[in-house]
Amino acid sequence: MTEISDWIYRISRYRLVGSKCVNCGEVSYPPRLTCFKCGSEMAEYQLPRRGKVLYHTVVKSLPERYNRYGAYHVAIVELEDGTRVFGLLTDVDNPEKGMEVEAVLRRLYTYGVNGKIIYGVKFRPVIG
Amino acid sequence: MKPGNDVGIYGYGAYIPRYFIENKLISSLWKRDAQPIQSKSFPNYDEDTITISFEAALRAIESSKAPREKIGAIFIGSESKPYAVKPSGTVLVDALGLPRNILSADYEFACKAGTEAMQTVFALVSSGMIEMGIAIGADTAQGRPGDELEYTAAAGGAAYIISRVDEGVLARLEASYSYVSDTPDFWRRSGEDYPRHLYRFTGEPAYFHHIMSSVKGLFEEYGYQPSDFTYAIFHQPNYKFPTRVAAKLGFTREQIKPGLVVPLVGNTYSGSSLLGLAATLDIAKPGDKILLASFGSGAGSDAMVFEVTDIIEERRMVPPVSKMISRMSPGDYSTYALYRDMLKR
Amino acid sequence: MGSPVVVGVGYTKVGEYWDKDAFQLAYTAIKSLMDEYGVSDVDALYVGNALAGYYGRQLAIASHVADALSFYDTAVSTFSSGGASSAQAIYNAVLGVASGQFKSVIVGGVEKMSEELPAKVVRGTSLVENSFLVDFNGLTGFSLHALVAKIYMEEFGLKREELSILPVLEHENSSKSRHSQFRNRISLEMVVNAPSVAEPLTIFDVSAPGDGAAFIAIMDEDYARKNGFKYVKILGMGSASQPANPLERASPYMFEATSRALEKALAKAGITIEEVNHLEIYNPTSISGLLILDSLGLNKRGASAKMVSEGFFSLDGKVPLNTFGGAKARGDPKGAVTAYQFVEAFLQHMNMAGDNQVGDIRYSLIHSMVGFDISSYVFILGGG
Repeated sequence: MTEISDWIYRISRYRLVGSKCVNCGEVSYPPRLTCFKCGSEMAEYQLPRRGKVLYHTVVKSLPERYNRYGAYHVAIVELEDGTRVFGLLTDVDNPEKGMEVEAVLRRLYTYGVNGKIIYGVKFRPVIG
Repeated sequence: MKPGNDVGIYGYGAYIPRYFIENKLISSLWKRDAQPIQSKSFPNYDEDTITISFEAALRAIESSKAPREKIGAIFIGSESKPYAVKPSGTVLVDALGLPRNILSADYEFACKAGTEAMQTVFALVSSGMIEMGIAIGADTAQGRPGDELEYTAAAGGAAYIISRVDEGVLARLEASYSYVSDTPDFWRRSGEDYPRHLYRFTGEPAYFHHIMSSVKGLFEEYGYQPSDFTYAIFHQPNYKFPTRVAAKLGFTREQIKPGLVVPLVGNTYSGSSLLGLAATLDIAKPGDKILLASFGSGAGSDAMVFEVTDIIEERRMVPPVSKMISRMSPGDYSTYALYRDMLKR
Repeated sequence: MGSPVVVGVGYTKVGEYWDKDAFQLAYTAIKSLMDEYGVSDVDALYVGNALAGYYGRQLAIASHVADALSFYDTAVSTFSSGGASSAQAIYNAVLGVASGQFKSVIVGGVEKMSEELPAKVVRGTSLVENSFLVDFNGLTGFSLHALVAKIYMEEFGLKREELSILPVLEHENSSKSRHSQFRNRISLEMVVNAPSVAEPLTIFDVSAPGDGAAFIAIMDEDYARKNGFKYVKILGMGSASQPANPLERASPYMFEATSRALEKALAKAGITIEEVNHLEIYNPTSISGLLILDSLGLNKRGASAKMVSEGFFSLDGKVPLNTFGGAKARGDPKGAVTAYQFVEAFLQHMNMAGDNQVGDIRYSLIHSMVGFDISSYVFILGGG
């Protein structure tokens, strides 16, 4: 994305705001314009912050923007309402299937040393 | 100072990053002996003052169930704000889903920027201009490699939701006293990566003089004495200073114990005394009286008195500071250098 | 009119061309096609290319390939959709000929992946997936494959070695192929123990960046016959899509876009999948290969790995697959890869496949897809 297009999606990126079909109730994150199941319109929907890790892997072949600090973990997380989402993991060395996590705000990347800082959701193990 | 209408703490939250580095790893790198504390926290590479403030504020909101729609201000005090121009609070407005009809600004007064922010929020709430406000003190302190302060410059923060007493507060503000003078013990010029300081000058003329002045000023104006307080929390740049100033002012070890987080966590700068306050509120009982005295280089001190109410039980932070400390995991100097962006590329 | 037919091919070896640009590669391939097969009428030139725009190298590349060849009377189109770029180009070239608009079209693709640095290549090849997932959730193409591999292995009880059964077969086939990028044989042990890309996938589970150009000439059948061309027919083709976010699919490992594209192609060709006995699929990873095979309906879902290990898809098996090595071993120059698949199917039908020749090919199936089966294309070739 660009500095400006990133801004368009910031609420979804900061707060796990997805979409829910007004007709059949399917939930999606990232948010969609139309329902993938029935094609109807979708309304904004706040996903829960907590969930558990279903699957995870370590990204070692690093892409631009995510190549400053070495390998990192991505996962499929099942949130408390049953929605499954992709997410970056943080504050964990060895993720495990079933690990309880919660969504927090972290730095994703910046546009160079002096450019805009892009923040977004990452999942970290629940504390306590 | 007393606000015209009574205000207090509606909710509180804190956050400490997961990583810590033992002082002995730092001293062994420089082949020196000093180890002023046991360990200090350091942030993950994806953390900064904004993300720390987010966690602290979210914890405060969720633990106290403060209604977001009543929040009319969010001020963050820090000496490591990610943008020189763009308040950290602006990101939190959208990241936390706060009302857009809100005040936001960044505060700077070295390590007392957080309590500075609190003083302003007390006044805004008391005046009726806003219903509730959030004041945060948070930092990812910049430790100059090889310098004395490297052992203690840590990361962390705490957030306080302030409201009028009639909203139901967990602790009422009784009084406060602020003291400022031009004492350049420690400063950072624009564009510099690391602050500078004047070593032993940061002691008597700075830390001790300003804290003792604000606390004595507070005591004289309102007739307090040390034995009135259940707990006292002082700014914690290391272990020696807060324990010594406590003794000088007539406080006991027991009074400062719960709020002393510096031995393991280090000095979280703008978060320091506020983190100590959070740790104290985690265990305080109704009726307890708490003294908080921050110190900010440059220099100044804010002294505040809080009285804990019955409501504390339903508003305690989840998880408490102790759980955040127990999740911490050790890192070596190379990880610390990588995560603190100290490596030249 | 008759069906569109493939009358000739021109292609470079896949490799790293440090000192050649995309135009030189495209020129080499197109010139060899025109010279060796006697193609001189070019009503249209359709070019697939995935990354030149992302690299900031050249936009509207087909116009500039045409310029390099001095083709000014030709209808020109650029197609850019990752590994399906040349599939889309060919799909549309077939429509152009079938409609009667064109008698003779040159279509294919060219890619110079080596012109950029690794991190940019990773992002450039990942951005065919949903950009929110890539930019905000840190997903790369290969890590997405890796996560779904884990789901698939758990669901069907697949062992680690079984996951990587295809790369071994692909390298075996590639060892005999002169135009392949990688001609080394590999073992299952090598795949499993190689450096990790995104566990469980290692570098031998995934395709590497490659440069190359491949073009084919498609003509109207009557026109081809009248002018004495030998050919293989494009009997049918189909395309379909599914949600880009695999978590929105009934199961993340179901390649429904491929299945539905296949249905359409078979219907158009008037044949069943059982009549197909040659496959050239686009699987940039070991896992996607298994998922594509599962979606062809040759057996029940989850059975493909076993079928591979039993030799069903070997060069001397019942349904030879990726006979020159596929994306993993022959190479994966994204914008040209499906054109290479067409080249290989043509060589097979024309009995020009040398050491990679399979006997008795009835119908060939060529498959391509955008990203992780977001939009897929199936072509059926045969007869001639």
